Amino acid sequence: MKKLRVLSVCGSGTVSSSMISQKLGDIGSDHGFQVEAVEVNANQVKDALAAGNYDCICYASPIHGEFSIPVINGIGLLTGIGEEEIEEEILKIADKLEE
Amino acid sequence: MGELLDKSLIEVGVDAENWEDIISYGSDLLLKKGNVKEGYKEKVIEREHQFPTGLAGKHMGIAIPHTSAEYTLKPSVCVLIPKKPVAFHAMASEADMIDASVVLQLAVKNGDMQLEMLRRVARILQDEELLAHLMKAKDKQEVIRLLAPILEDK
Repeated sequence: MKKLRVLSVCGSGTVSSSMISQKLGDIGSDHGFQVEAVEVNANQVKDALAAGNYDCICYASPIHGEFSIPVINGIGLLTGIGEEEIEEEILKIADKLEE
Repeated sequence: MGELLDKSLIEVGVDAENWEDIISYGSDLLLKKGNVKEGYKEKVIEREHQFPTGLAGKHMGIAIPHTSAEYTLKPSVCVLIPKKPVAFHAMASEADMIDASVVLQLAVKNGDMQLEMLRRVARILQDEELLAHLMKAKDKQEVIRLLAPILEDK
């Protein structure tokens, strides 16, 4: 099964990022891929990216800088508004993954 | 999970001029109940300055102020319905303001318990109809009746 590795970012690295990770996991199971999400706070993003491989970043608190992987605003996964668009973006990234 | 909904952590018609007021109100309820440690209030306010928690729903705004687990003694959801909507800065776009008609102030702890609690809070955030009823709730009993199915499996 494909595995999508997501860095899930929020202010404290607990509440919003965990909710985002759960929703991403649901999207994965609906579409037949696995989601491995790691929750961090905004200050831990650089170190996390240096220490591991990720396919995308999904955030609930603004992050700054240039990134070589797609960066997605995950607020819609909390409110349900614009959730479809986020799902599409995630599916596009997942499509490119190798088995 | 059964004890998430606590009558003493619910208040309807809270008089609050701004987000600091309402966070302060919720913090006092949590502190009085013994669910958070001293310093929780200051930490949540400090964190809200840095990482705001206002969320724009389709028809109304909500906010989920919280801080990290170190100040939590018991995971809790404090449900506050302000007399009039309280302006919070928006999560992930600080320049935007959200008029929150429902404030769910959280005390979180790490681990599975928290994940389950957050899963349930996420369901509330996405349930427009429930939120619309919540913001119009007249008393605690009504809030309990509305939230019990989600927070207590009833």
